[in-house]
This record gives sequence, structure tokens and C-alpha cells, in this order.
Amino acid sequence: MADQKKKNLTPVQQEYHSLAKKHEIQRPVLKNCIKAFLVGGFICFIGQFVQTFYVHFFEFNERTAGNPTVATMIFIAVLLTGFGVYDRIAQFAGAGTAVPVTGFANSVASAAIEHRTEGYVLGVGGNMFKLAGSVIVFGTFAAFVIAIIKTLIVGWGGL
Amino acid sequence: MKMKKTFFFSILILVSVITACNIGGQAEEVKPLFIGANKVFDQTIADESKQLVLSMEEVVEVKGVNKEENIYIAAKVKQFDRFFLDRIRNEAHDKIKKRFPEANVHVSTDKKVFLELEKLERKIYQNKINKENVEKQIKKIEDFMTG
Repeated sequence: MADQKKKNLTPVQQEYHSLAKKHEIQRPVLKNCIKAFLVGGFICFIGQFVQTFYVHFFEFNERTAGNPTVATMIFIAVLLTGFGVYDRIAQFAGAGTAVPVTGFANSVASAAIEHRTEGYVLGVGGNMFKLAGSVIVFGTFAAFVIAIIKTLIVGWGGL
Repeated sequence: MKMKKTFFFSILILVSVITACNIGGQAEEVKPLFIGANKVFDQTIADESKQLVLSMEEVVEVKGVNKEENIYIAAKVKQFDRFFLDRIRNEAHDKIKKRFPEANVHVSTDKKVFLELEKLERKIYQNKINKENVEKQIKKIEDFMTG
């Protein structure tokens, strides 16, 4: 609670706040982190497995195998989202499922499913990137900023 | 009390997860396949290059063939040293170039190149491939190397 806000409260309210804080269930941050670490790592393990599969059995080298791997992971994530399985995993693992590319696929697919009743154009088309849009915007922006920094360092710093 | 217990357990899990990579995966050096001179292409240059690259500390396994003055080498690098793949590639390249200044040296750390070279190496060793097919395979491997 911010100090400024605290001043506006009556003593009774302040007392109540401290009492509520005492009984509030604490967020298990460390436990969540470990869950996210393990599940996120497992997703990456599957991704590595898929990549190795493409390298061994198709004409991809390590670098070019990245594209079909990402496509496969997105496909799996979208399927799981459609079946309602991914939500369950996400509830358990939190950021572990949101940070890899599967989280992005989930956010697009779930928004599309949710707004299907509003029609294909204004419903699905308009709302599909409601959540994923911010990822794209800030991803592009961050890439832009980093590219500028790199250009400055490499071009003028002579690295 | 409960908090302390979970904290302790989580630290234990974290430490074991992180260090397991270091204990279990310590790869040992694998002896390269020495092919010799009397095959479709004389492989003595490749044999010697393999020995040179394998002598590097970071490299655990190496495959390679040569077609006359073109040497194709693929190295498998130890886990942690994979952070410095670029430097290792350059070092290996310089090492071979120093030994064979006339040769065109191609060094890769790519898994696909490694697998393809392994296959080709074995085929040459067993005399199961003719000159034309070797050239075709090498062209394919060169494409993989450039990406």
C-alpha cells in the first residue's frame, strides 16, 4: 500500500488493512518459479527433440531446422489449446508455458476461439491478436532498439 | 517451519538439476576413423586433419573427408564450450590451414554436417561408394555447411 494512500484512510481502515494483510495467503513465488522452470524446460526439451528429429530424418541442418521446429511446436500448442489441455498446463506452470513460443500460439488460438461467436471477420479477425498484438509490437520495438544500439557500437565503437 | 522445508527442498532440486548436466554428460574423446590412402580419394589429408582438430581441448569427436585439396571437417564440441563455437571453428580452421596451406578447409560444428560426414566416411572406408557419388555427397554437405 502506497504511503500517500495510507494517509487518507481512517485509523480503523488502517487497522483493518493490517489485519487483512496478516490473513492474506502469501503468493508461493519460489514454488511458482520452480514449476515454471521445470515445465518451461520440458517444453524446450520437446522442441529440442523435434529439432533433432528434423536434422536426422530430413534435409535440414541445425540452423534451418529451427523454422519447421517452431512451426511444429506452434501446431501442437494450438491443438492443445483447442482441446482445452493447454489451459490446464498453463494454470499449473504459469510463465513456464507463456514464455516459449507455445504461449504465443496459445494466446492467438484462445482469443480466436473465444470470439468466434462474433463472426469471422470482426470477431475472430479483430480479436485474434488482442493479446498477441502487444507481443508483436514490443518484440519489434525491442528488436529495433537493440539493432540501433548494435549499429552504434559496431559502426562507431569499432568492435 | 513448512516454508523452510519447501525452500530447502526447492534449493536441493535446483542444484541437482543444474549440476546434473555437468556430472552425467562429461563426454569422452572418440577415436576418429582413419581411412588411409587406397580408397576412391586419398584420405590421408583428412586423417591428419582429424587428428589435428581432435587434439583441441574442446572437441570430443570429429568426422571428415577430403576430395583432393578440399577438406571437410565436422567437430562435436563439449557441452559448455558450445558457447564459443565461432572461436573453436576459426581455431580448427587455422590449425588445418597451417598444416596444409594449399588446401581449401571447411570446418563445421553443425549436427547435420557431422551426421552426413559420418555416413560418407563409413561408405568410403567400406568401399561402398564410387567417385561420382562421393562428389555428389560432398556437394550436398557443402550446401549444409553454408546453410
